[in-house]
Amino acid sequence: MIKVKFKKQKLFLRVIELGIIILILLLLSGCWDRRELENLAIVSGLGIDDPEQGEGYQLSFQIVKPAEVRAPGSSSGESGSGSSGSSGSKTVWLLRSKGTTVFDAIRNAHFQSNRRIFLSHNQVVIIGKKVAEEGILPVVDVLIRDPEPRLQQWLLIAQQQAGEILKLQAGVEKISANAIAELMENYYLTSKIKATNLHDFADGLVKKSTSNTLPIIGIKEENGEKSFILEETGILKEDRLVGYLDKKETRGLLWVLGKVKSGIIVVDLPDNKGKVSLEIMNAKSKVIPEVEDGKIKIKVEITEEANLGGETSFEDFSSPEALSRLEKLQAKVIEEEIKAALNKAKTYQLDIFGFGESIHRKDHKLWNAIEENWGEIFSQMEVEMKVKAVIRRMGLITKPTIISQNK
Amino acid sequence: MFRFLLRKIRLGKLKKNSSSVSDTNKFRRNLEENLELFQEELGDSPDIIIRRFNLNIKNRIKAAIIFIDGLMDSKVVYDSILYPLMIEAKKENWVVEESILDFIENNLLTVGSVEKDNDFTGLVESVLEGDTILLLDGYTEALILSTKGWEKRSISEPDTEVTIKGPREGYTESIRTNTAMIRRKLAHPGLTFENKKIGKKTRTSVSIAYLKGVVNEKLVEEVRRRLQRIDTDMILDANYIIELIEDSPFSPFPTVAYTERPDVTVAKILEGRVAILVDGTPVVNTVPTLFIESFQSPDDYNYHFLYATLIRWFRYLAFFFNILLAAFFVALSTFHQELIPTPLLISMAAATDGTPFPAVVEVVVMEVVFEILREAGIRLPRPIGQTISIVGALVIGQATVAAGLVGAPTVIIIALTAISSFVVPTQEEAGILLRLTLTIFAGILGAYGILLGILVVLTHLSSLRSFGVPYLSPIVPLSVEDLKDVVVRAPIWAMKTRPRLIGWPKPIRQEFNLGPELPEKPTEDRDDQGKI
Repeated sequence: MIKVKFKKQKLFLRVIELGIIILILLLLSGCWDRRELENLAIVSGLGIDDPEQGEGYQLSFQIVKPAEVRAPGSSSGESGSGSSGSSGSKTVWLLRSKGTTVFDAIRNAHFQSNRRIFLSHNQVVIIGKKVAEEGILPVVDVLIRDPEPRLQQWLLIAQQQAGEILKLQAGVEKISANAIAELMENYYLTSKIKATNLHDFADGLVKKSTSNTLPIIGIKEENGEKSFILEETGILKEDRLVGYLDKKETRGLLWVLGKVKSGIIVVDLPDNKGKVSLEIMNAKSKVIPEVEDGKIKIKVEITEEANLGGETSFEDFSSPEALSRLEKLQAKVIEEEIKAALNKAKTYQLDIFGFGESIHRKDHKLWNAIEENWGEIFSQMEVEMKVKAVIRRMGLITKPTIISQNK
Repeated sequence: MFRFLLRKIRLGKLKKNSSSVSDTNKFRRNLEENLELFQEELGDSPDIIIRRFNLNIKNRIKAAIIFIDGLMDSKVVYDSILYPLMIEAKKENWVVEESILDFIENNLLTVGSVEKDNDFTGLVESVLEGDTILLLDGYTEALILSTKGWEKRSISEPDTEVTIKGPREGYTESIRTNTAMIRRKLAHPGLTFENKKIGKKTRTSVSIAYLKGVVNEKLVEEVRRRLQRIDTDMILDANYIIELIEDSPFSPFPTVAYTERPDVTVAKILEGRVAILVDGTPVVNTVPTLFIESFQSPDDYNYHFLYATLIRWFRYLAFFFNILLAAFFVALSTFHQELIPTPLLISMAAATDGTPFPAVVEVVVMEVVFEILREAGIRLPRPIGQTISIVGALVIGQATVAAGLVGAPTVIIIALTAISSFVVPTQEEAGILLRLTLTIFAGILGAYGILLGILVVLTHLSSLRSFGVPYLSPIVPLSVEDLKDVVVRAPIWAMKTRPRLIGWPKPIRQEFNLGPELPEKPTEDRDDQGKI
């Protein structure tokens, strides 16, 4: 009986203890970041520009209007003619705010936005050209440091003003920033875009030897209608935009980086016989640094597989000889693309390929010695290319429908 | 306080007085005096029948039978008691060597069980239980004739545990019918019923059933001990017993299992459990009870084991939905919006746009509304119950969304939670409590609150015991062998052992190589064929 009583008393005490613990937890921790869904301004795209006057930054937030996105018949952005405020069913709200720093500008958005600016779902960060030329790091530091924005946001440079791009309507998507993000995700369809997210960018900054490259987005005007388009790739010296790679050169860069997944290689047949489009199925790259007589040499090995996608000539490639001729032509195209990118990089003395990193990994003592003038060494370095291009399949028809006949 | 004490003392005195009234044996030789005694004790209720008649053996003797109308089988009373005594007795010239009472018992009464008794209190009790007592003038003893028989519900399909392929019989309110149903499924001499009357006023029959040789004797002893210490007025339902013998009365988790199906009870008795039957309740309880039993449906064993395993996994999932879905919804939509995929977030934001309340209030209110609807639906007669569900689903569900009071996702979440709660019916009571608390926790602290809540629940669950067996076993403490009926529903031929912590006195249920075998080909030597 005594034992039972003791047990009950103990239970009672334990209940009280538990109650106190829960109470403390509730009081001490509180509602630290409780925010209702309907009080959030979900930002889908962020543009960072120079202000027209004064110093600091001008931010453009593309804020989703959820109810409009769900409603049928709504369209994104301002219509091409630029008439603002007329349509009531816009799916996004372009909010501009100014501040001396980016963080300041983000908070200053609350002069206009009653809802809390919520950056966790931001998809793209577009940086105006001017800001990019002055330096990206001070701008994106807050986006990397703060826990709210993700590191998976795509980072792009605008040809002119970033805010102008976020204003534009996307073809099918209701939220244009989503469309831009998907352009990045689908880069592999052409492999001519260097899709870079914040994490890649920060990673590139840490690796001092490697220079970052960022995609550049521009505005295309057609029949008075504006739309955005991916243009080229910017080369950054540290965090400043200094040069450009065109689309061919961009793929040259991606070949070396091993980021080519798919895309079309157009091969010119000799004697103006026509063109053959080859679909890249698979590509691998290997960067091997070598030291020969005190000279550093880089060997790049590319293994590529393609399918014959189409031809404008009536050449028959079904014989092994014809095929191997075509394969050689293909390898040459790839080699040319890489060479173009390499030459461009050499003129800027910027190692965008990560060759320095591979040397560092292989022989860090050597690297320590050459790190100082790596740019110079890079620009004079010999790069040996070995491209192995194979054509695997000819499609459903192995021979052209009309075989060319010598009449 | 003093008044309370005084009342207690008075009550105690009263108890003593009442007990002193009936303990003396005041049986007389005179029949009329005796009948008066009975009349006094039983009162003037119209259902108490005292039938006087004359018995003509050798000479005329006054006799009387007392019974309660409605509790006895009238056919037995008329054909086996009154007819032989009044008619048959006259027909012959009897040679009576023993006392008349013994003579009647041995020669005339054709009733199944006859007992001689001279204890007045005992006789009154027998009458109240439906037996008939026979009094003779000049005797200080009476015969108790077993004539119990009253209107009973016939065996019907259990309402709460419906199976598709299993047997369709369920327990009734009569304990005798129930024991018969168990006995019919388990025709083994080891099956033992121990009867006991509990409840000073209701004198409810309570039986414990177990299988000798399989059951742990200490468990039976413990069940006996717990039943022994019950000292109460009334036992009207099995739950009265359960709440008095439970291990952790404050825990929302059931530590005593119940079933409406004899096949389930028998399966559990065969695993070494003890069944507790209470008269007047169409439900049989079994102890010890494990958490995992709630997820084992009787139909699991009637279906192919692969399907049964899959369904069991869904059942686990449904349980988590039941207690956690609403909480996660609240946590995600008020604290961790970054965890929601962007398109879903936009959809959710669109749906909650303009709703006046925070998500946690929405969810809790809708949960409460649902519980009220459910309660209304259960208590009402069936046709009206359906009306209620229509009102609930269509009017409240749709109208609140259309009016912009509650977001559509909230209604979906509540609906999913509600459906899930019916999947594991035995944990329903715990489920509602957990769901509400976790939702409120999530509303205050987000995912951290949920984690905290789960931690408390897990700690509590792992400290629970049911008749000495850890509630979470065989998961905690882990018994790999027993996972055959937890993680999967193993094929019947692979269930070769009884649950380790319950059936350990006789752990082996069947031979280990019972897997179906192909007939052996005489030419080839394949002796290990089919063994797994």
